[in-house]
Formats: sequence, C-alpha cells, structure tokens
Amino acid sequence: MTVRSEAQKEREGAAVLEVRDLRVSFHTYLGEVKALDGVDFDLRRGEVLGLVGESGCGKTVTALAIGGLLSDNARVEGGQVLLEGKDLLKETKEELRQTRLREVSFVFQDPMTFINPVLSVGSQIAEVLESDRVFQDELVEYRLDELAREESKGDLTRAQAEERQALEGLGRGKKLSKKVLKRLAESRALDYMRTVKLPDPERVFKMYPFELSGGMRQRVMIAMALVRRPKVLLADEITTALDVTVQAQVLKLLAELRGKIDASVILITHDLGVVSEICDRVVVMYAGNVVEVADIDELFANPLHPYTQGLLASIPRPDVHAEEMKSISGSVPNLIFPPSGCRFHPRCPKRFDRCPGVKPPLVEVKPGHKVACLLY
Amino acid sequence: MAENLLEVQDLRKWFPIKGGLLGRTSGFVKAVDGATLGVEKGETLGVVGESGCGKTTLGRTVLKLTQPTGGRILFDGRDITSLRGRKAKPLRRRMQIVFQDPYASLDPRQTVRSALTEPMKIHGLARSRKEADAKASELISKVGLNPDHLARYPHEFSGGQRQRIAVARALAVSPDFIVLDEPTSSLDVSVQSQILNLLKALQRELGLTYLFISHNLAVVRQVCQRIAVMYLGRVVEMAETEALFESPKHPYTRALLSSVPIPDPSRRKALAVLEGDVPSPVNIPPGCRFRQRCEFATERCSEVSPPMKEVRRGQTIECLYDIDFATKRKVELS
Amino acid sequence: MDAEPNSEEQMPKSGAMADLRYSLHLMSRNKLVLVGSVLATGSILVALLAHVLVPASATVDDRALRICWNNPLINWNIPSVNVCPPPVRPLGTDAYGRNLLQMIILAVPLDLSIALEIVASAVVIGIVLGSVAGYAGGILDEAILRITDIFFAVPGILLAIVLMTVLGRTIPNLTLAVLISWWPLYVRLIRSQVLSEKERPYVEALRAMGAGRMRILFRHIVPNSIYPLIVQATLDIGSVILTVSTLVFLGFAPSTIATGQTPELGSLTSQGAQYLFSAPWLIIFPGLAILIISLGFNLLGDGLRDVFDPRLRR
Repeated sequence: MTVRSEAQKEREGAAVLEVRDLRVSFHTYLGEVKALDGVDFDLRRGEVLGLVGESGCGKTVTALAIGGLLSDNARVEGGQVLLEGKDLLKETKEELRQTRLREVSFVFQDPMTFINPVLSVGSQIAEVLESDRVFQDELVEYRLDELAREESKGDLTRAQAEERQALEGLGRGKKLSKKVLKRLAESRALDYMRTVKLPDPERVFKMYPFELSGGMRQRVMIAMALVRRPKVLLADEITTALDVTVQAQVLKLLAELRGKIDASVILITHDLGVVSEICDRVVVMYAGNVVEVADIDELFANPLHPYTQGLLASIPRPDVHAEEMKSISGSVPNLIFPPSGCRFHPRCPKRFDRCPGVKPPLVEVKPGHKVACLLY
Repeated sequence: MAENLLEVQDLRKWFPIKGGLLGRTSGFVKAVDGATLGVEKGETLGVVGESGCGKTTLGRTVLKLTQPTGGRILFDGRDITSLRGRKAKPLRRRMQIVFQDPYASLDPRQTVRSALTEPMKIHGLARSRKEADAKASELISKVGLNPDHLARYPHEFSGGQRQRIAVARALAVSPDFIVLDEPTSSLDVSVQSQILNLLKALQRELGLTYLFISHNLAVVRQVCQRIAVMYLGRVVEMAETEALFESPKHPYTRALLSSVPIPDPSRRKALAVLEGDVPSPVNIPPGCRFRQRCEFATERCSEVSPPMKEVRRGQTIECLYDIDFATKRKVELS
Repeated sequence: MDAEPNSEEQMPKSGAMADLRYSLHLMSRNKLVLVGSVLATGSILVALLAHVLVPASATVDDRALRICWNNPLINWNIPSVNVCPPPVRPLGTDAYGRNLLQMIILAVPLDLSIALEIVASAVVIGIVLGSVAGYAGGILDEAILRITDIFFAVPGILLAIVLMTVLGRTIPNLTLAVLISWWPLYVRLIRSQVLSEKERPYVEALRAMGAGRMRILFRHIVPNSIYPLIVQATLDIGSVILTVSTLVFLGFAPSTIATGQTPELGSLTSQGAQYLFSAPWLIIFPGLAILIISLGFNLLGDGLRDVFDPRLRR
C-alpha cells in the first residue's frame, strides 16, 4: 500500500470507494486459487474508472468482492473495501443487502441472466423501488419535485393538485399504500427508461425482455441499476456481447449520462478501445495484482509496466496496419501456483534477477501514476 | 488479377421456420440472401459484419457443411454447389475450417495425437500408424507446440494452445483453403496476436488461401488483403483492405468503421452512432436492406434493390449512389 | 470467475490419473455416495463369492431345523419360537430348515445377474436405437419415438405379468418381460444426449474433415453421451432388482424359485410373508437385503451423477 500525503489526496479528489490490499482466494479441489493478491485502488467521485486486464486477472472477482457477491467457495483473506469510509467487508448480510440496494449497483455482460423473463420490463425496473420501503420517502419527494416542475410550467390539473395534497399530507416514514407506491415507482421507472434513451418508453415499459434487442436489454439493465441512484456503478463487460454499432450506442449513452447521474462508475473490460473512449483513469490488473494505475492519457502515452506496454502493443488497431503483430509470449498463469515474486516475470521481456524473488509494491512514480514493477 | 480459388455467386441459404401443429413452414430466415464474392489464390479475404449478417452461415455453406438454397459455389473452377455426402469427401481434403471456440471444437475425449491422425485415417493419407504419428509430431511442431503434447487431452491446454491444436488438425489433410471462423474471438488479446502471426506464417509457408470471418475490424485490418462487408445476408461492399479502411464507399461500411473505438485516447473522437438495430432476416425490407438506418436514403432506395457496382478499381458496393461523405454529395451510379 | 485454464508447465497432474483422482474426490465429498459405493461393491462381492462362502449342501432341506432362532443378540418376544440347536445361525432358519443367512447370500448372485442382464440389454438397445434416432432425425426418429411411446403408455409391471402368463414362468421370460418395459427409457435418454451433442462444434469439425456418419456417431458422439447413461444404469440396477423381486413375490417365477427351492430374494420374502407374526425374521431379513442392495446402487448412481456433472468438470 502506498502512503499518500494529504496534499496528494486533495489533488486527486475525494475517493468514494477505496479498495485496500484486497486479497481473495477460491477453494477448489486442485488447490487454493489466489485470485486477488493485494488489490489496491481508489474510485473518485464522479469519475469513470476503467478496470482492465485479461481473463483470470481478477477484475470480475474484484467487482464481486466490492458488491459482496462472491460465491460460496471464495474467501476474503484480507483487506478493506471502504465506501465513504465504511468497510463493506465487515457488513452483515442485511447491511450488505441494503448497500447493494442503495449504494452499489451492478450491470453485467449478459442482461438476460439478470432480467426475469416473465415480467414486463417496466414493472421490473419499478419492482426494485417497491421491494424496499427505504425508497418510499425518496419516491414521494421525487414525485413532489415533478409536480412542482409541472406547476412552474402552468397550472396543475385538479387530480394533480389533489395528489400533491395527499402526498404532502404524509408524514415522513409513514407507510404509503401499495397501490400508490407502485404508481410512484412506475412513474420513476418510466423516467429512467427515458434517461437511458429507450425508444418509445411507454410501449417498451409493457414489453417482455425477449422482445427486446441486445442493446435495448442492456439499456434496461442500466436503467435498473441507476433507478436506485447508487453511489457506485459496477459495469462488468457491458458491451462485450454487443455488436460494434450497438456498442457505440451504449458508449454514447454512458458518455451522456455522465454529469446527469451522481454515480461513480467502475467499468470492467478487456477492451482497451472502450477504455480509451470513456474512462478518466485506468487500473491495469494482471493475475490478481494491480500492476499500473494512471490517467487515461498518461497510461496510453507513457505506459510503464512491461505488461501494460506489451498489452498496448499487442492490441490490433483499427486505424493502422502492422505486418507483424506484437504479442506477449506464454499465457496467463494458473493462480493455484502463481509465479513467485512479480507474477508477470515468467512472461516479462525486461525481467532481471530480483523479479522472481520480490513482490513489487505499487509505487507512485509520477503524480497520479502508480506502477508495481521493480524497474521503477 | 490472380485467379479465384473460390467463387460464390448469388449464394442463398434460407432456413425454414417450422411452426404450427403440422410443422408447416411459415417463413424463412434468410441468413445468406444473394451473396457474391471471390477469393483469390493465396490471399486472405476477410468477411466482416455484425451478428446475424450471415457471415458464419456463408462460411459453412461454402464448405458444404450445409446445403445452399440457391446460387453457385465454384472451387478451383469446379461447380461444387450440389456435391454432398461421399461425393464431397475429396473436397474435404482441400477445404478446412477452424472454429471460434477452441474449447468446444475438439472432442474432449480424444488425445491430441488421435485428433491429428484421425483426418489422415479418414482420407488414407498415412500408410502406417507410425507414419501418421510422425506426421502428427511434425504438425504439432509446426503450430508451435511440442510432440510431448500429443498424448494429452484438450482440457489440459489453455485457449491459445487449443486453437493451435485446431489449426494443426485443419492442416492434417494439407488443404489449400481454410475458413477461419472468428479464430481469435475467444482468446485474450496478448495471445490473439500469437495466433494471428501463426496463421500468417503458415499461409506464407504453405501457400494457403484463407476466408477470414470476423466481427473484429481491427483484427481484419491486420491479416486480410481484401475485405467483404456483409449486411443482412449480402455482401454490400468489397475492397482491398487499405482502400476500405481509408475510404469506405458504402454508408454501412462507413458507419461500421466509425463505431469501432480506437485504443488511443489521443485519437478519441465522438463515435459515429448508427441508430436502430439490424432488421430481422425474416422480414427483409424491399429495396436496399440498409435504407432504414441510412442517413443518405432516398425514395429510390426503397424501390430498387441496388446491384453490385464498381465505384473504383477493385472496390464494389451495393448502393445506388457514390457518396462523398465529407460533402454529403451523392452521385447516382450508372 | 473467469480463470483461464492452466498453461502446461503449471498443470499439477495430467491426464487420466488426475481425472480419476478428481472423480474420486467428488465422490468422497458426499457421505451418502460413500455409503452407496460400499453397499453396491459389497453386494457385488457377495454375489461373486456366494458359492465360496456357502457350501453346496446348504440348500438341502432339514425339516428338523424348520423355522428356529438362536441368535442371542435379538429377542423376538414371541413365545412360540423354536430354539435352534447350536451352532448359532445369525438370521435363523427358514421353512425348509436352511440357514437363512446362507440362503440370502445364495440369492444375491441370481437377483444381481438378472438385473445386470436386463440393464445391460436395455443400455445396448438404447444406444443403438437412441443414437440412430437422435443422429438421423426425420422419419426414422419419429418411428422409433412412437414405438417407445407405446411401451411408455403401458404400465411396466402389468405388461410383465401379462407376458409371463402368456409365455410361461421361466427365468429368461422374466428377464424379457422386465426388459420389454425397461428399454424405451434408454432410447429416450441417449437420443436426447445425442441431439445436444451433435450440435457441438467438434462434430461440425469432424464433418468438415470428411468423417463418415458412423465414425462421427459411434466414435465421437456416443462416447461423449454415455455418462448420463451410466448414471441411469446404476440407478436402475436397484430398481430392476426391486421389480424382479416384486414379480417373484407375486408368484411370477419358475416353480423352483416360487416354492423357495432355489433361493431368490423376492421368493424368500414371499415365503416369509406366511410367517409374518410367528417368525418375522423370514420376511424382515430378505426384505432388508433387497432394500440394502437397491439403496446401494441408487446412492452410487446419485454420486456418479455428481461426478459426471459437466458443471463440476473443467
């Protein structure tokens, strides 16, 4: 872990989420899979942070650990996940449920797995809000704001005025009837369906997931995640299963949503093209370690870790033709028997005698640019 | 121009949709619907397009793994359109395929040696077991693995290694032509280029001809000499790689190219967004298939199905107009 | 988790050995499976060694010893029970004065071999018809399916009873009767396996290679479809033993068996039924033997299902 001065913290902007020395292993028959070995990074308020790496690097495990969604055979060996100072790893099941409901939302690669196929799209988005009373006050305020905006545009209809009176009459914490709750939730769901630019939202509201295209389903997932106004949005390979033209639509949507939503986003992807399109900063992971953290421009212009360099060199670029493509020799290591010292050393073109023996710490070599390599 | 090893003319592959109590055909999924292209000897022709454009079906139909509904396929000057069963067997020695998913394209219960020698047995290419084994050792070394690996099972290998085995298996019959169906899509980036380099090296060494099917335009740019862009079952543009990337002429090609994010933030641009989704290949709109999503569409586009026209030397498109995308001016093609 | 399989140099153990060890590990994780394999292996061992364990003279009638008990560990609290002279007969004697334990041991090979014959034949028929139906499809598939439907529609035991009545009560007829109601299940099972297996890319690769239908089907698809069949067959050994002994219990057996001359678990039980109150061991122990054997194979089958579950495999 790096020690940072107050001044540095100031410059970096406040962190919403701090992941500190997170270590997770999985128990399997063949042995203990040391999936995360000291993962360390911050998510700053309002930013889009890219978490990149190849399969098995631990990016998905990191996300699942943050959301408390690890499978039964996983064990958190140590570390902290601090959401505005509160350690999510120490929360009870119920506290975690609340956290996931209110503060940390997920969007996954395959929406069909997470959408109920027999419920209409709109009622599913609304259901999130109805499922727990914690959203009740918020829903009332949201509706009152909406009515106030209506009023500023012109007079309210009689029904609207009555509705406002009824809602204002409710004391805080007093239970709404199920029917009213449902109506409020549905109106906000519809609102978020507009936010994610679903075409013809009133019609789509009543449609079933199978009637939607892949891109629309992914928008529904995003709406479902955003409708609870989370502080952190974890987006795991959300464009991987989409065609490029649809991917471009979703990326454009994400770009437009910035500023409109309060959530800070962790975008998990293996696609450096997607990263360079919308991320502010990037965390590069390899075999369960964070190997490099930098601002997006800095990372691409001046990659320091040999893995990052190799990765950037081996991506085929759509804008240039190369006769011989570069690649990193070997393949991703087995994390039951991870390489000693620096986990990248068996594949590293720049390794030297100390690499197999010493695990390199993540050090800040330039303001905002950290790297875990003994060369620096 | 070099001679075409493979020629595909107006190829159609429709899959019937069976429905109702009596299993009557209620319609067709027109996966490939009038595709025309030629693959020159020794080149790599890329076939790109989004999911559902028919590129995979095209590859399978060309190999006669499925019978075409219409059109013609010529291989080395011979009409192979209606060859099937035993008659197609000699063809299988000359045409091979490598699939996307190396985890599923190898029989999990077969050792590598058995997987590599089986094609030789089928075609009687080795006189003895010893000869077959020797050939298998040679093949496995050719793809960058070593003969010790022959006794192992597929699950003992990484994705990249399995794909090497799949390539070796395809080479076992010494083919002239290989369909590469998304050969690197399920591999990690750092491994992907190893496989692409291997494929290129093998092509140089053995004089192979490739039909490279991919949705990844960046990869296609690195390995293909020419590219065919497919949309809803048809080849809408065909050109040499550099020409296609530098000055695409079909509006779809242009939209496709500009929605690919470039892994370089200094070249970050607003991605051009093509609205809407690909229409269903069951109810294909009359006229130009792309017109509903095309910003340049005119009245005429819905009336006339555009024929394939050469806009520049070696660059053909299925569009009524030659559009200058910078000025948005269009000239009708005669 | 998106872990990539291992690169070769780090693979801990390779090949068949590791696979076997992994299978054993999966099985040993579940206590009931362990119990099942012990019981099943035990009954197979008993069947193989029956004629070594029990002397040929054991089946000779000895009316003097008819229905007596002298195992001090169990007291039946029945006043009228005869006491056998020593040596101790752990499970008492039967109506012919024979050592019941020895009779049960002698019955096991008969029951088990009938069950194996039935299941093995059903498996073979299933593989041939099921794989052809699944792979060929079309009219052939339709025809085979409809035939299995007919057999599915008739209750198995009823069919067997009718057949035995018509054909005569012999062991081969008993086997045939049960087999006839048993094979359709296997056809269905292997057909559905073949249907899903033939869509896998490696089959497509084989076709592209020019491999013939027979080679693809019997060298590749069938071996890859066989696991659920093994599970089902193991489970069925238990059920078939149950069915066979039920039929014998009901009296559908050759006269030597039905009268209890040749020991068979069902007939021993049915003999014992007559002495339910005066000599309860006569029905309890043969019944228990049936229970243990079929439970053993059922638990083993369940365990194999876990072992072969592709989700637990890499």
